[in-house]
Amino acid sequence: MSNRQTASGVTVAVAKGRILDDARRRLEAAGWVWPLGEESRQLWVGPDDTHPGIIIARAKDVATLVARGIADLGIVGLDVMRENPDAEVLEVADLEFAQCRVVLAGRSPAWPDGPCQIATKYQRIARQFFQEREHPISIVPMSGSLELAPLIGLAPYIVDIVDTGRTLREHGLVEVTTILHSSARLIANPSHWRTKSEVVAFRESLRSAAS
Amino acid sequence: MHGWLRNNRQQYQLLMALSNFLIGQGFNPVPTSPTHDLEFRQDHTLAILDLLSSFRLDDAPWPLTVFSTGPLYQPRAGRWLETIDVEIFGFDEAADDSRALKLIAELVPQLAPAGASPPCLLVLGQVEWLDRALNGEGLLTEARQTVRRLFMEGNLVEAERAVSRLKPNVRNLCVPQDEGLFFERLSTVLPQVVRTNLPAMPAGWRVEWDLSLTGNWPYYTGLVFSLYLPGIGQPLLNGGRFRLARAGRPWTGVGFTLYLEALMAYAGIIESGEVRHV
Repeated sequence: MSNRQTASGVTVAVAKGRILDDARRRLEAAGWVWPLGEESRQLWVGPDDTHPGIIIARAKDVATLVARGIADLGIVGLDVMRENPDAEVLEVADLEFAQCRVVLAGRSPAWPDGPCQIATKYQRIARQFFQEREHPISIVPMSGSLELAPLIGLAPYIVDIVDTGRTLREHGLVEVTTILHSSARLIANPSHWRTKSEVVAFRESLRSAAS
Repeated sequence: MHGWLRNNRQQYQLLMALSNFLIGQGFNPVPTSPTHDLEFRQDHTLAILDLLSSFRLDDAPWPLTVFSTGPLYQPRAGRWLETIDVEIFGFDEAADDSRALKLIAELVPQLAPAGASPPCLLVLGQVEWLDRALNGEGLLTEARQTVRRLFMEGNLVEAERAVSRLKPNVRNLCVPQDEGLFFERLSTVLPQVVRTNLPAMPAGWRVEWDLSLTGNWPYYTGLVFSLYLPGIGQPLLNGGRFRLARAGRPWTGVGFTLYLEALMAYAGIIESGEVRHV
């Protein structure tokens, strides 16, 4: 089956942010036209012979769009999937781009001594990590600028996503341990996965493009 | 407003049509509550068993065939889904499984638009066979449970990594395939398994076996199944065989949940999000 055939009738929801550029490159490597311009603010385009349908969405919303069958497939980080698990979608491929880690960091590399506060936007991941280690914590929910938390006395530790670790270093923070290795995941609507051959073929073409 | 009222009316008619069909087949309605102990209902089966287990059951007609109607809560999506849950509690597993599938094959086509025969896909799995196949590969209990959990959670990335270490004839059971090929492959892995005789399915339906289908609930112990209609992003129904204990009483049975929203699409009542008159 050619790419032109597999693309028609398939709609993919792609997470905004760090996933988007790599997703565009992967689709282009697989032989499709990326239908949205560099500066475009367009968030949706339907499929045609040259490309699949594309929906640009917030990362947390990608699984919802796929679960409801609005999109056949989605491209979103594993960190987002683990923080917002959705039993109504299938994770069907590790696309291996947008690699990063979710880490525990603080002002020293020492493991927390006794109960401690953790500032994070990854509340579920952090809770689960410390529960598995039977270490008591309390969560300080934050949605950004986490690196500030230990510096301003809000919480001695943070759980955050790192790529190169530069932002941590610039704020005098060090990693204590890695909690999760993340990369982009291709997720699928279970019904469409089982009933639309184009959806499975699309996964194979993205995998082939990686190699 | 007219469309909204008509949509509600048609959903209610569908609910009534399904309920009347089930009553006609000898199934009894069980009035479960959508909330219990400050929690929203996510599964009818346990709610039904909580009620049934309060009876002595001396005079229960076996197999006990019941159904429950009403919404199920999906916590991740934060929404309620209108459903009908059908249960057969009994002791003859093969006969009851066959009865459940036969019921599905009779019930669903009745909802099709006049003159239409929508081409459904029935996917069957078998969690006990999956466990035995993995056991035959030397996987310990924890590793077998992990593989099943990964399939159940839809994490095919990790599940495929886990089964990639297995022999090809076991691995090949975990992909969709037709019945003939599946049982040919299964006979090389579990030669003692007797081939399941499925009741006849409606014309135009496709049947696939796939041991990666493990059902929505960890309590399934045998056959599991889902019915799909191409183009509809939700299954029409999910179900399976289970063994459960409630109030100190053991229960075995097979059941399935019908999703009204998806069935409305099957019936041609909803098309591309729009309600149309039928």
